[in-house]
Amino acid sequence: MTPPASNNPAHVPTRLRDLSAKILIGSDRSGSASAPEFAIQAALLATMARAGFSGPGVEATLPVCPPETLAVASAASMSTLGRLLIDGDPILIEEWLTLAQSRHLRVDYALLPALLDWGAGKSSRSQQVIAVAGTRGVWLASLNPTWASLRGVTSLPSDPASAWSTGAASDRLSLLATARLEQPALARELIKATAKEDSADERRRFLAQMSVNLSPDDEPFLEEALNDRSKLVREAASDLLLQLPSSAYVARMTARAREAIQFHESKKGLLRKKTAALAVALPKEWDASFDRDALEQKPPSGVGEKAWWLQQIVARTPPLALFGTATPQAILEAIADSDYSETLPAAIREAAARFGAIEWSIAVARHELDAPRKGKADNIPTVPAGLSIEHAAAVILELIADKRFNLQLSWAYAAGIPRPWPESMSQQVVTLLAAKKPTGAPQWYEVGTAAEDISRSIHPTSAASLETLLRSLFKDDPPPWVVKSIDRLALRTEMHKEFHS
Amino acid sequence: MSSPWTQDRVLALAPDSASASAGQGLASRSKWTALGQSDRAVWGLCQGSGKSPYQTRVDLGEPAFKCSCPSRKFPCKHGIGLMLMFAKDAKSFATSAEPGWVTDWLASRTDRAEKKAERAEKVASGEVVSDPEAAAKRAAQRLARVQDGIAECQVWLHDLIRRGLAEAQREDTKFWDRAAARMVDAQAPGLAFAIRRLHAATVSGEGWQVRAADQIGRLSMLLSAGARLDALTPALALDVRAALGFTQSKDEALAQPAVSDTWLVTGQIIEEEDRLRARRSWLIGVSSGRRALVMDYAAGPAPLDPSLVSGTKFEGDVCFYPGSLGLRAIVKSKSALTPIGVPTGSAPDSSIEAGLETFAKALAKQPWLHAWPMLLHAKLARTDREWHIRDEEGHSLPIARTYPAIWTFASIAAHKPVWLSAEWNGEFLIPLGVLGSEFNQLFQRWAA
Repeated sequence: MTPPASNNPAHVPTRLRDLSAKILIGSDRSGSASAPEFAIQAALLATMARAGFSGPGVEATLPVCPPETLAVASAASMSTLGRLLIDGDPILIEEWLTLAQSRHLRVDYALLPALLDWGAGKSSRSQQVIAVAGTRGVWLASLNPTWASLRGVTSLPSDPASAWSTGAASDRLSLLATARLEQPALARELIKATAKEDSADERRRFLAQMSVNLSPDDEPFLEEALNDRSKLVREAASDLLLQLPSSAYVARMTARAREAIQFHESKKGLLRKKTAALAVALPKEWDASFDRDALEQKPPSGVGEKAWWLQQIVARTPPLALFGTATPQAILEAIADSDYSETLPAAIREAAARFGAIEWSIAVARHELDAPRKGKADNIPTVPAGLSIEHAAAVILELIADKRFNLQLSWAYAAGIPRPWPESMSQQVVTLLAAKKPTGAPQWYEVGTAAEDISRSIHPTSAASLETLLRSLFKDDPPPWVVKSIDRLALRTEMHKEFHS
Repeated sequence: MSSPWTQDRVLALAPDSASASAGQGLASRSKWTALGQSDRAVWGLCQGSGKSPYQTRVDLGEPAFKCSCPSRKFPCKHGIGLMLMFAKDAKSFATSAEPGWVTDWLASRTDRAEKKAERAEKVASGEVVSDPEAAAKRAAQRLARVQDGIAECQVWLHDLIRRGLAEAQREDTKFWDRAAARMVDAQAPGLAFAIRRLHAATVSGEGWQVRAADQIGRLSMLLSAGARLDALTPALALDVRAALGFTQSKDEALAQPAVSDTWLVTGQIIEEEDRLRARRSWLIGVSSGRRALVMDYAAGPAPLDPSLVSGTKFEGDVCFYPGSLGLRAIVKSKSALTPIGVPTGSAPDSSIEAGLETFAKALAKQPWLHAWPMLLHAKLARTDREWHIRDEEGHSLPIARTYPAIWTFASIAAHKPVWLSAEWNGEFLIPLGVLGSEFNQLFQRWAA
């Protein structure tokens, strides 16, 4: 055995590295010693290196984490969140976070990494996650690039114009969002400043940020955007202008719709029965102004070109401005007798949702119950997003109460309502559903599928009564997918209790 | 009194994830009646699909479970559900006299435990020896096979060094598996383990050459020592035999004088090899300052012994297996577990320098030691890419780059000094717990 060349401990790591380089190529080729000698040297040097490790101080630090300002949520609710973060039902996680936020509580340190992982995925989650992460959570996010989107609220930089012109795309979007909250006019200036250099897709995304704090002050800017050469940008601008009922854009649509649709009421025959007649004059040809107002020229398959133009115009016109005081029922009956029985009710449904005409929404929904459904059973009309809560609730309750009950149709309207549903609406839904039961008319297998949705959406104060209803519906022997919903309801009831105790 | 029971600890007892999630479904007040607790047990009735409700009871000491349901899983979902309820909301368990079906069961358990203890005592005092001649013959046969294995392994290792590690690194997994399997056949599982460690080192990324040289050194040292067991001191010979894979006798350990103390279970780590899980539990005696390593094994889905829980402490007797270092130990008797609080004042050895010095001394006695417990008072720190632990004196230790729970650890420790329990392997630190936090049990879940 070769004696160690030097006993200076400082040389051990170097000698071990040298030796490992020789073992790497093998004793046959390195030639300096035999295999058994190498083995013994490795044993000596490696043991010496381990024993002699001195823990040299490296220059390493961490920023100071400021003290917490919020109290931590209860241990029971933390363990519930822990389970939710593993199972990953985002709707229940959001519900938990809302509860914590409303009670000014924060998430326990142990769960912060899982929470931040969950929140970093989607920008829509960041605000809520930051609110319950506490100062520790924001501090932790500042250390990990994966969690960069959760580093806390930004406020406007001192020189927004230069931040805007030099920033990366995502930074510019968040700068714009902040500007809309604090100085809406500034956002318009920023977008204009670089409009010439920005791509069409960027211009569209920037414009979409204007929906926050939208006001008639924005109309001239948006009207100008309708002159953009990109259709995507014009569509974004028209979406925003439609949210301003007093805009010139809405007035132009109303004028086009009135020109095309005439409606007469008359009394006819021996019994002088009241009837209504519809006269439709389709737009004769595609107008350059249609392009500017972001209408779509090419129809989907199966729809006539000109009828398609009219459908878009009606969907952008307040029903009251078009039909005046005529009752929705009379109009819809007249439409049913016309050539436009397929296209116009859909357009009116969209317009009613957009302009908040509740009685028109209800009338169209009832009309859908009557309408002979073409093709497949899942031919459910799409309900436009952005329905107000009261608006959608009114339609849903009307539909459930109707004797031609169609749960799927009712549920289509629920898609836009934020969760959880309002307390009174939830109670009424359960009451109405329970009243349906004895008649036996509804297809109860539908309840199982809808229960998935309802069990996530219903207000927690009604969760227990819905649970009871589901159990009794399935005679205490519910199929697995209903059991899932029942368990979810129980979990939600428990979750709310944990925050109250 | 704060309960040492947490959801995580209960879920760790579940035999599989189906039982864990079924148990969670049962952890609701509405599923149970007649919930009760005494100072040693909890119980309740759960309505299942049968006519009469199931009687579920848990002995909190071990813990041990018993349920009248027909499930063959152990513990069953009712036991898990009951304990989850207890961990979450102990208040809903009325403190009352134990019903008959609880006392009867507890009494039968005590009986069994006493008989076991009696038998252990008899073995220790040499009263029970079954056919000493046959036993000696078996031992001699095994030793001969192991010696053959050592000789074969020497040849294999020297051949590997001759050809060079670069060539060995290019070998596929079969090459290593075959070598390890030969050692298992030779009844030297410790050598098989060492070969697997060498294989792991060759695929450990940046700096692997030095790590592999280290493993070669350890293996060759073990082989040389194993080849001349008779020439070693009795204590060292026992260490070498253990490292070769000879089972150490529990009874022999129990026959050693016990160390009575308040024992802190500072950390646990589970390593998985094929379908066998091996868990190291690190104990520190408060007045004796002794460190103890308790090993537990479980195959397949079987749960590991639940009676030791990281982050808790107990009063009790610990016996050490004979050997030069006196590290590996077995718990002979213990009180119920209570949580460890944050230590007040200072503890000896809590600096990095002192920790490294005790490690060096231990290494001098047992050079193939691959994990050593440290209890440090230190802060978390970070350079550009790496995490470190840094103490007040300015010394630092690097945290393993692959450490999975680093963000949870950072979240709990932040920038402040904490009482950290960790394992040091001579190269990297693996944090196992932060005293006074729930991190110990969290880490358990990470490792499992």
